[in-house]
Amino acid sequence: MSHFDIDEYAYLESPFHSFDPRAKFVSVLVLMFSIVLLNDIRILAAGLLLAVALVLVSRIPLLFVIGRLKWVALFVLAVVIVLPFSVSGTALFSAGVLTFTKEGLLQALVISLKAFSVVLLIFPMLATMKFVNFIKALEKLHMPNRLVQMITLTYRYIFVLLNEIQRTLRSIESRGYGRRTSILGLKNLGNAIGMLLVRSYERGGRIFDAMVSRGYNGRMETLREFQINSKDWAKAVSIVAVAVLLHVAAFTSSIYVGGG
Amino acid sequence: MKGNGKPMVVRNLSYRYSDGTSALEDVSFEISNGDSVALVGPNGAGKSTLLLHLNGILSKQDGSIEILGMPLERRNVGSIRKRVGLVFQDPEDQLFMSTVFDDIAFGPINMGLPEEQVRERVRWALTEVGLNGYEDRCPHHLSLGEKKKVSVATVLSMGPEVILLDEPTSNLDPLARRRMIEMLKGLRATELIASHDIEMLLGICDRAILLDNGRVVADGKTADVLTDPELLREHGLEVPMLVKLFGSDALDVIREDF
Repeated sequence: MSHFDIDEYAYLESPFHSFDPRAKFVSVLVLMFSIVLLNDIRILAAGLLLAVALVLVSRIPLLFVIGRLKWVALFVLAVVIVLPFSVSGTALFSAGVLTFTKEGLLQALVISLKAFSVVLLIFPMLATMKFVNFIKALEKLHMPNRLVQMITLTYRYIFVLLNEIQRTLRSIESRGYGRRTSILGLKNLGNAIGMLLVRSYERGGRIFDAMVSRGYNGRMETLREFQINSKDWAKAVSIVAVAVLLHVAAFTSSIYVGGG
Repeated sequence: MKGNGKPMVVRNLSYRYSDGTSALEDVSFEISNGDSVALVGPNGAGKSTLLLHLNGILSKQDGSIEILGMPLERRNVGSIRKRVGLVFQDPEDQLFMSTVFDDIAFGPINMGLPEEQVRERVRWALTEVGLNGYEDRCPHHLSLGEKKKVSVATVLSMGPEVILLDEPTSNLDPLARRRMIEMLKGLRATELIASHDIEMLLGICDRAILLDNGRVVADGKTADVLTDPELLREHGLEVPMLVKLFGSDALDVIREDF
C-alpha cells in the first residue's frame, strides 16, 4: 500500500535542513509564541512576511505548503465570518439584526494573521527533518519520557494500523458491501471498526510483551546523535532575536501611537 | 547472580488461560548447551505459550522452570531475560522503535551498557544477520524477510545464551526463507525453534519436541521424530515430500541443501 510520506521533504538541502533539530525546534517555537502574543496588526503583517520568507529559505515546495494551508484557511474563514458580527464596536454597516463592526473585522484579521504565520512556520520547523529526528529532539530536550514513548509508538504503528484498516475495508468490499451509506453498510463499518479495536488491543499486548522481554523498565531511550555547532547557535540566536525584535517594534509603535 | 547449569530445565509445567482452557499440561524437558531444538505441533498446541514462559512473560502456574541454573522467579526474571532472547512471530510486534538502529539498541540500552558498547553490539548484530547499512531505515519500509532478520538482530544484540524463535520462516518467499535458514544455522547460541517448517527443522535442528494439546507427545532426534509419517499425521503435521520419497536418505540431501 502507499503511505503518505511524512518525511517527503526532509531530504532537501537548506539552512533549515542542516539546522540541529533541538535548536531548530526551540528557536522556531519561540518565534511562534512571539507572533501569537503580538496584537499590532502591522507588526503581525511583518510576521507573516517573515514566515513566508522562512518557508522560501527552507525550500519546501510551495504547492505542498499551499495544499496544507487550505485546511487552516477553512478554520480561519469561520472566524472571519463570525467575528465582525459578534464583536461590538463601531458599526461599518448593518444588515437587519446583524452589525458588522470595525473592531470585529480587526480582530478577525489579527487572528488570521497569527494563524497563517504560525502554521507557515511549522514547515521550516518540522518538514525539514525526519520525523524520527523530531522525536529524538523532544527526547533530548527532556520532554516527559511517557510522551516520547507515546509519540514513538504512534508514529511506528500508525502505518501498521492504516494497513489493517485498508485490508479490512477491502475484505468488506470484496464481499459486496461498498462504503455506501445504508443501514447495512454502516453496520458493517461498525463491525469493522470494532474488529480493528480488538486487534489493536491484542497487538498492544504483544508489543508490550516484546518490549518487556528485551528489558523494558518503563523508559524508552535512544543514544545521543545530535551535535550542535556554532552555525546552529548562530541560526538559533538570529531567530530568537527576530522574535524579540517583533515585540520591541510593537512596543515602540504603541508608545508612538499612544504619544501621538 | 550467575547460573551455570543447563540452559533449560522444565519440569511438569502446566498453564491454564483465564477462561479455563488448558494450554500446557505437565510439560517436561531439558535442553543442553549448544543444542538446536525444534518445537513442533499443530496450531494451538501450546508452542507460543511455552516460549512465553521460558522468557518469563507468562508466569508459571504449576511446575518448575530453571534457566541456566536459575529458577525462573520474579526476583531473577530480569537477569534471565538478558540471557534468553525471544523472537516473536510477527516482526510488527517485535520492532516497535522508529529506526532499525534504535530497535537493536533497545535491549543493550536497557541492560545499562555504555554507549560505545551499545553501538558496537548493534554493528555486530547487523553483521550477523547480514543487514549492514540498515541502521537508519524505518521498520515499515522493510520487506518481511528483512523485518524478520532485524527481529533476530534485536535479540542477538543482547548477547543471549539461549534464543527462542517463534516461526522464523513463516510467510517468507523461498529465497528469503533460505537466507533466514542460513543465518539461523550460523548462530552460535542454544536455540529452541517453534515452527511448522519441518524441512527447515530437519536441516538445522538435532532434536525435536512434538507438542499437541499442551502435552509433550514425542521428544527425540529430529531424524526420528520428524520423519515419522504416522506420528506427524496424527498430530496435524506432515513429513516433507523429500522424506516421503526417499525416507531417511532425504535427510542428507536436506542438510546439504541448507
